[in-house]
Amino acid sequence: MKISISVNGRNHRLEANPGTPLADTLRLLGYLEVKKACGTGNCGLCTVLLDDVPVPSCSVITGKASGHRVTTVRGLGKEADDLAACIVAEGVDQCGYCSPGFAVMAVAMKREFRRMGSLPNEEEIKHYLAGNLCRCSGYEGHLRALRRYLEAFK
Amino acid sequence: MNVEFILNGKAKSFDASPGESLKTLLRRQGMVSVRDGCDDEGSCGLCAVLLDGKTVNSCLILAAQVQGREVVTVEHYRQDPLIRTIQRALVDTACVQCGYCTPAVALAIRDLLGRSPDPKDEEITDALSGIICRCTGYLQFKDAVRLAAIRAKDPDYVLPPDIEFKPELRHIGKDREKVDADMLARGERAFVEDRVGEDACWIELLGSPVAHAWIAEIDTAAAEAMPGVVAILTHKNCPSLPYTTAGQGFPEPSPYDQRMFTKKVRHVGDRVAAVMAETKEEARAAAAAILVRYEVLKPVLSIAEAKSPSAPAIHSGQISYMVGSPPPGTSVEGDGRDDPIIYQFPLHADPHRNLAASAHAGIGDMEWGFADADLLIERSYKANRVQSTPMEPHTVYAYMDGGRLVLRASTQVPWHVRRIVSRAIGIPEHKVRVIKERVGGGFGAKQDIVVEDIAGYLAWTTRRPVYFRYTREQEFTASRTRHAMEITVRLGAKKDGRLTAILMKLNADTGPYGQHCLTVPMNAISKSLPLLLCDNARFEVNSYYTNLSPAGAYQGYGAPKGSFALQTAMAELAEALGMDQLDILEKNRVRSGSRIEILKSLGEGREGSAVTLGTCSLGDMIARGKEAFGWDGPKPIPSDSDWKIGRGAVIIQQGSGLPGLDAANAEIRLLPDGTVLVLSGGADLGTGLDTVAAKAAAETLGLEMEDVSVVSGDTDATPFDKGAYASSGTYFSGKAALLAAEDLKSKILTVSSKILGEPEEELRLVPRGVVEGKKGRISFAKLGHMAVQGEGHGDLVGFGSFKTDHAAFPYGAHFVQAAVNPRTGEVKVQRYHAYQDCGTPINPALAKGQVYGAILKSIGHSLYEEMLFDENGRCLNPRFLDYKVPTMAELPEDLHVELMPVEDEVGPYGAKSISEISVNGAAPAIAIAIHDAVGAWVREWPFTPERVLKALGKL
Repeated sequence: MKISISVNGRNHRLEANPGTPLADTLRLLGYLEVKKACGTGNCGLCTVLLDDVPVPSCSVITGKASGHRVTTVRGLGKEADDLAACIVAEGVDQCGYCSPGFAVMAVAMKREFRRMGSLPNEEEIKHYLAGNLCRCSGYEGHLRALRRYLEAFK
Repeated sequence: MNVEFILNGKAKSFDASPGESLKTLLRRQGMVSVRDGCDDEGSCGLCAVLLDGKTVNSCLILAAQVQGREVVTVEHYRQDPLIRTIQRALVDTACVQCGYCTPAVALAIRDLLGRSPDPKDEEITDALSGIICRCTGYLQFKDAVRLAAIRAKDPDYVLPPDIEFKPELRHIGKDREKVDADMLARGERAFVEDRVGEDACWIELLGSPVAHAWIAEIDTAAAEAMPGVVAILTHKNCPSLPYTTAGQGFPEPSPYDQRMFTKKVRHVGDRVAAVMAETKEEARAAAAAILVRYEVLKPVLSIAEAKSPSAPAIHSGQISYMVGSPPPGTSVEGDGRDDPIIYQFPLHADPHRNLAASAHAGIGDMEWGFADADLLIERSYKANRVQSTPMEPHTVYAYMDGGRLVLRASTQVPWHVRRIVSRAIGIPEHKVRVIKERVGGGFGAKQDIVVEDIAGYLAWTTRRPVYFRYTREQEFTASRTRHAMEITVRLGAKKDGRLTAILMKLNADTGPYGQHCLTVPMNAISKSLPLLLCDNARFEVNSYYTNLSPAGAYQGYGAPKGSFALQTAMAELAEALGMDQLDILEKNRVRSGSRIEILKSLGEGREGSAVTLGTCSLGDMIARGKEAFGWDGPKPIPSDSDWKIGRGAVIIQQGSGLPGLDAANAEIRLLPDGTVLVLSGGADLGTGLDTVAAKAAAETLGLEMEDVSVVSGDTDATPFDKGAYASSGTYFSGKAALLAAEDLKSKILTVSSKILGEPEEELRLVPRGVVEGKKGRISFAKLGHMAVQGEGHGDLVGFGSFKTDHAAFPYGAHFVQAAVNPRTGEVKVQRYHAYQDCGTPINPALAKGQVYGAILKSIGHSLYEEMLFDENGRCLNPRFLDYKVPTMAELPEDLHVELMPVEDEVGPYGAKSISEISVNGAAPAIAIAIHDAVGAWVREWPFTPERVLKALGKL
């Protein structure tokens, strides 16, 4: 069927099988920052924003995304840049494979709490990001980076 | 809308927009073999596909038109054995040079053989005349068609070997398959355009509509707000670092008179702004929305205008001379408005008077020389602007990888691209990687950095991948052209024809910027004057700025123009003395053992020195040509009395790289299975340079060609090379590969000696990949395997670095028979023979391919190619429909190339260069033949019917 998706502000019209996982379609369109490590919605690496809501794009079918807005880490602009600076400063990245999905989720978290006029505490951060797996870092660095990142909003 | 058709045997359904061309649809589906050389004009034939079995230009057909029909691209060879047979025939007859046109040629032959299994010559020409190829000169395509026709009936037919050289060697001097030919014939991904990611942005260049103007105002606000726009570059927001686009060794012998963008435009098509947007359409729309107000200045449109004291200065900024005269550190004040220029090479320039460079020197005593002459003649010649039109335009794909900038480039000079781009952006060289892809024709135009700086800067600053590709029109207006030149030759001679003095006064038009402004005109002298021995010789070279298309390198560099002037003048002298033109050349030409004194004053920016020539085979070459043309007998009688027949012959030369200035390096690794990987710095443009490197490795190491792979021109993976220019490929890069192979051989022998317990002197390499001693033997595979084991001896890697002060001159004698129609002014080249010395031909069929291609290109600039400009400096014919390049239909009936090698003592296996020399003969030989036919001298190229009739006094 005909699919039309806006990714990072750019409109795509394509002929695709509606049942194809959105993650695969995004990668076919060249959005290679969308990583895929499980295909079952368990690892969080393929996280993108679908109309501002973070979703594991491997578990959303392309047909469902048709007519909607998708944002990958590269579409987050300055928010992603600021977070990246904190990730670099805290030495979080080892292999870096989980970072794009992590960054999308972290920015979504920040936006969500800011909308409520607050910022997440340590427990809330852990809860929010529990779905983003990382096998290199042991997560301690992620927490440091997020503390530093959220500091700016206090 | 939906379109259904059979694509390569399978029923397919595609979503297409109603106006989409079949070419666009097919390329969108990943059929990269469908190429484009003319921006959908339908004039180049590179987008050929078979539609219901017939060749069509897919750029001129709407996708909707093929509903229900059958489309075949070259990828169909998997199902169509005849396509595969044709591809192999093209490979085996050395037809694949750059390979950009090869898929289209294969399909056109498939169409032909489908309807005519044993095609006649005229049928072949008819079938292939719609495809433009600038590399091959078309002749070998005929061999390919005949071979494919035979193999279609007898698949096991083996082509009998052609003339071979160097009987003591296994691969050198024999025809071997060009290492990249088969992959290119199959239409696989190989060029920059085939590497571009789906997410790449597009760059649209806004070019100046006027030839000379200040940009008084530029407003990008509306354009920036348009959809898809990522960035817009203008002189207001780009780095302002002076540089030259000339991809020459550092310090470049060209002024630093360019910046990424400036507030002054100096030619039509000059850079005003670059728009980077998500798509081509968005970039184009935004470029059109940029508001520019120009303060138009009077343009300078000829050398005469440039010289005039009242001419406007094209460059009026402050000038700093870092070297040479005036003394280093001298500055000349500018007008305060234009950008400063830096000279870091002694070019003897005066930019405020439009003089970009000059050089005056000579030997002997001119006054005495002319006084001693019995006869003086003075003639002036003019060579107009032409463009090399590589079928793949300038293109680059730039993206970030690992925090570094990667440029996938179509370039002749990967290392110079790295240096110049990093300088233009203001980042260190280690942050830049240049990967030379297969190049769809370079011919000198791709020695200049015309797209890489903008794409590199935009990818670096936005951190997004970006693709930049020139249009065909931009290739004419904003790439690089041959310099237009006016050369006056004054000759003094004794009655017997001996020269007493030669004076060459040369004025060149370098266009608005000074890349190659001294070296191209100097090359016109240095590759023509040393052919004649004369005690008194002098040249005066001046290179002027104008507001026409920028000039630069083009195969032959300055030589075709110097050769045109001096060789034609010699024939005019012969006429004045009542001698045969070849007799006068015979009296004055260089020969074995000649001392060439004039080279003292032709040192390429350094002190030159006289050279004593070793063996020179010009005498043999002239004798062969005279015999083939029945020179001493009567001229052939034309079959049509409207036409007159004439003959002309010239001697030509070139160099082999730049001795004392340039260097090349290569590395060869022995792999664990006993095969080798050659890492060559050389930039193969389709000339076969990688094959030269592979052959050097296979020959030296006792391997077969299939035991060798070559990686080349990648600034990360391979060692430095000066690049492919000045006929340096085989001589420099090939020699570096040979030295690397010898180094690896010596390391293999050292290690084997220890393992076998025998002294190195008693070991030798035997095919295939075995070290043999008196007692034992060990294979390369064993050595390679041990190298990577804990108990082994470490990686076996050979390194070769080559530089030299030795100058190697290839020589040639070209003979032409032309028919001239004195009523219409038409000229037809009927016979063209090239007797050519390239030292040892490493791969004879590929060497000949270089010569055929050079001859057709030079027939083009001699007879019909010419960029025309209107009174405002706008090029009137920047497209193939209006700018005539030779097709197969222009092939002379008798085109013959004979290699007559004289080995060089330094070049690899005795090789000299072959890539450029053969463009030097056509213009003077045809001019002489026209005179021989109708008695008139045409002294301005191209020799159009109009100019021939003018010379005949009929216009």
